[in-house]
Amino acid sequence: MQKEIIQFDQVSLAFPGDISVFENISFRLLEGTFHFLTGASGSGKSSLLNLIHLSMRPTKGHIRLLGYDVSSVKRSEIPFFRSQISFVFQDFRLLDHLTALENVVLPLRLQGVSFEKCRLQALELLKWVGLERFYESYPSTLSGGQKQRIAIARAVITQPKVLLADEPTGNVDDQTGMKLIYLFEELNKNGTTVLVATHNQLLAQEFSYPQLYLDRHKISLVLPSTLENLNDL
Amino acid sequence: MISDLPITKNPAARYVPWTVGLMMYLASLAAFLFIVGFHFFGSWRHDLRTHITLEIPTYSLFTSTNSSNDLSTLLPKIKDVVEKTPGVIHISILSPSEGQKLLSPWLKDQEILLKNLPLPTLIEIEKNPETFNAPLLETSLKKIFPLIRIINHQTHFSKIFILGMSLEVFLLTLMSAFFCTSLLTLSFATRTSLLIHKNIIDILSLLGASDVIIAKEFQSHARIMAIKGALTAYILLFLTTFLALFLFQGYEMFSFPFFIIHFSWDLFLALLVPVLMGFFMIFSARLSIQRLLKKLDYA
Repeated sequence: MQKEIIQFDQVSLAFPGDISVFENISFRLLEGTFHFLTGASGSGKSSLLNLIHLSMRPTKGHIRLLGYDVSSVKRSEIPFFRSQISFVFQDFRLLDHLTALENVVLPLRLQGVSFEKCRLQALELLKWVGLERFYESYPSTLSGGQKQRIAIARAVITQPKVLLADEPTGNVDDQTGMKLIYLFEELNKNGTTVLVATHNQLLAQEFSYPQLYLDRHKISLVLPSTLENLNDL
Repeated sequence: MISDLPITKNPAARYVPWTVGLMMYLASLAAFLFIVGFHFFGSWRHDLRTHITLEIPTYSLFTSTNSSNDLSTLLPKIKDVVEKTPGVIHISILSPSEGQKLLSPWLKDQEILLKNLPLPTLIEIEKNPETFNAPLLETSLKKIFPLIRIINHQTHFSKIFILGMSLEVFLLTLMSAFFCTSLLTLSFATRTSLLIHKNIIDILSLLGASDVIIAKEFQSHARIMAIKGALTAYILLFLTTFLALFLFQGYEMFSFPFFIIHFSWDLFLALLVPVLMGFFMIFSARLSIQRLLKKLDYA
């Protein structure tokens, strides 16, 4: 039986000045599932991912991650969750002065693993994303798609339980975008829970995965088979 | 520890260690100049307080009818009286050549004139200012030779004496301001260096680095910068010393301050300035990184 890996319970988020992002949203994601998070620009997709990645605190409600209530998690406990929940950013967030290989090994190095021990694993991942030849290249010499693939390799090197991606296809062409989603599919097949935020409805519809749809401060689940709206799960 | 995380490779922060080195050098120089100035004016003041000069005018010897006023008979008598005066530590009679040497800076090209001038005979007395009895000496000397002059440098140079003290205070103020500016600039350079790396700190945090690891990494980075900076400062100080030695060689009047201050504890402290500033920098980096991390997400 699949366990709940992410659970939002009546969660609200507002920015200073009482600017509401969403109100009382609830949903659950089961372990090993793949979801798209869709909605127009400014609907709060990034904010929702930031809540899961513990980069923001909810104004109200409870969030459970990996079975733990993180509503009042201490700052010192965040690294544990981030080692289990990886993030792929739209703007890649690679360190420009490090090579592709050095960027990929970084999360493991932060956990205290020696470079030599994680080097082979990183090279395997670079091979998996099709960039084994570029392991010594610096991000500034790579294309947007290549940078994003390095970012994906970096995100999965710790073998996370959850992979969050915020508009990963936002800075690449459609064809490259599709290839990136295939990489996420492969990860998902290996058991990683994947949540990909995109404003590109067409891209999301290319794949038969359920969508969490954010609109007017509310969230709804759009199932691919029925395209049925299930408000406030 | 991710010691090979090459944040130092970040080209944005390439010049920070050199800026730090320059600041450390300037602060050391400020401290060093203050110590030199302090010692210079201090020894000057000390000399003024502890030395008087007796002047026996030569002209008076020629015009005197008293045969007992012959210099060879007069000098032992004067010496005897001076030595018996309370508070006299040392007495030294300047030879004619030493007297000429004192005038030589003003009569450089007129050697013949200098040799033929009827220069007075000078007797330098080192005294203990607390116990020395000037009126008694004057009365005793006037009895032997009424035309003898006692030159009290402290009275004679009283205005210069005050000027010297004012210069000391001015130097202290100036150097303190200079030193504080260097410290502030160093602190600013450390913070700027961290701000340059803010993006890296942000990414490391998002990748799951704990605050402890990030803080350690940046403290280690600050330590490397401090070492590089201190080495730069010492090299610059070394070069400055040699330049100063080169520039001041042959100027006896302005003999290089090293010969005045020798090796004292305060000079040792001045030499420690880069090291102390290095510690200040590491401490400053620690504070800055802690503040920066607190401002990061989920604080």
